[in-house]
Amino acid sequence: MNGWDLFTWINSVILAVSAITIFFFFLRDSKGILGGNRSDADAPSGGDSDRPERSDRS
Amino acid sequence: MLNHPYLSWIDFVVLGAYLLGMLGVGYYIKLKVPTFEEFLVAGRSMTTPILVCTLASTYYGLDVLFGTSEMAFNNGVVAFFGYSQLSIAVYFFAAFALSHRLRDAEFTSLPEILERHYGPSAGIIGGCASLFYSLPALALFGLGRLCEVVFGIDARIGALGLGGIALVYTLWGGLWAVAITDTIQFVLMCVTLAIAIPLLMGNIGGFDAVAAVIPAGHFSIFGDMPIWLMLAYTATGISILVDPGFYQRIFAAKSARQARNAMLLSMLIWFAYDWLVVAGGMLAAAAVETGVLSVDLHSNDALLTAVMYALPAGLAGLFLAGVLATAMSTIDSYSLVAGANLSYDLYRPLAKKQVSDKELVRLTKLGIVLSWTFGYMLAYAFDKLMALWVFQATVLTSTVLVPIFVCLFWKGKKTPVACLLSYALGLVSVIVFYFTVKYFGEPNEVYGTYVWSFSLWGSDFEIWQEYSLFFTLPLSALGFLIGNFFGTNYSPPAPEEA
Repeated sequence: MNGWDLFTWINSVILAVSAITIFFFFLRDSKGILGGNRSDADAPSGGDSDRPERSDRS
Repeated sequence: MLNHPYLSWIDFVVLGAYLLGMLGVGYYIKLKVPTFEEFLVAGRSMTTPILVCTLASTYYGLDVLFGTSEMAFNNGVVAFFGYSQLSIAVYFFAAFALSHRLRDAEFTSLPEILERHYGPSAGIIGGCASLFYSLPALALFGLGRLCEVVFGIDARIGALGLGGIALVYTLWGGLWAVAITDTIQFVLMCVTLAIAIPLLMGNIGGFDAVAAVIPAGHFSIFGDMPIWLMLAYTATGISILVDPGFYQRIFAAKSARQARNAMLLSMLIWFAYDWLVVAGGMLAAAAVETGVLSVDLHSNDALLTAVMYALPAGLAGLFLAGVLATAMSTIDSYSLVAGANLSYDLYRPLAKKQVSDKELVRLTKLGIVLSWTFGYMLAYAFDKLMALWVFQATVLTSTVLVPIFVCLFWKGKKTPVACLLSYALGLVSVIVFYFTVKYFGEPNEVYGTYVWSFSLWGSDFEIWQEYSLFFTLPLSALGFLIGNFFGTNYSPPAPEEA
């Protein structure tokens, strides 16, 4: 096998395995996001928030 | 459209499912973004995996897929070693030196860094530069062209339809929708490319077959690329150091450590992705030489055509979905950044009044629509869109890089006058440089640029348009140094009593 062929195969494996592994960890982390309880610090929901208003700093 | 030579009905079903899936994700997330911080920086709660996906997919648009493969098609492995990988040192620097500085200060946008350190005027000008850079013109143009080449749909209608889907889910869900769709798009673009290139390699007969039909120079690591041009390509990587989309993702990270790890993992992904794109371009060149593909094939379409030829039904549709994904992930990310530039970085300080969270979200959505529309109009107003994008990146880098880096790395004196003079010299020098090289230079068809050749004191010189940062960044730094003699550090006014 040509060295460039090998390099291509190695990069294909790296790319596919990395993408699938990262996606697996994303699914693990995203249970909160997709389940609707993503951020307990942001409990209030709906259009109006109780957060302080933002103003320019001038 | 359904009589496409390389696509079957299964591929069109896969594509339809992908587009509906993107809208479905956006609609689901719509119900979960109540505040401006949730909308723009995802509540600062993104973990490493989702950051990797959104970083990797946002930075790899159609310009990489088609631009780099075109360079490989015409010039060989130099597209990888001399073009793609020279910026790696810049990415390492970004991972280790910028992550904690940006994340720990709890900024919301890039212009806000300038506003906090140099005052509202500096923030507003920085917001304009960021907005100019973030208009999604190139990605919309690429998407339209893709629709024209692959599906035979008019480019403007294709960009309107598919770009419109990216616009809708971005409006629905802000950064969460962008990041989650980016994640799906990331997996699609990586996995399909990783399957397609080895299949194409098998079809062509491997690199031994490639070496037999393309010039030997295509296997020279740095080819005949001028050293200054290599340095210029390295310098283009510097734009990531002030890229508003990159900053937004660091601000959205759960911690600086997660942001740094995401950046390092993205570099591994980019490395592998770059090589496969280059390999695809070279394999396509061999396919043309051996008569497998038409000799009339345009080098820009080579990778796409070769891969569609190699992949079986279903997988070709998945690959095309991955290609659409590379454009849509760029459109959604930069539309969001540009929308926030209009609302948070321009309207808020200019209006000089209290702006509620709810109003900011509403204004940001309006800004997203405006910037998308302006990007669309821009996409069909210029002939040389790649050159426009390079100009956009050069303007942003030449104006804001020096003031931003002084904020992040220098604790001493830094005055608003220094920032404004740095902006002015950076911007003026970019404009003067571009027009000078274009006026006095000649077009270079191989590299698609302008080169100004002249003799001085018996020596010959060549100045390429890509060399702009070598001139503009030192001038921007000089402006800062001179301006720093005037005035004192900016002091933000005390917060008003509630």
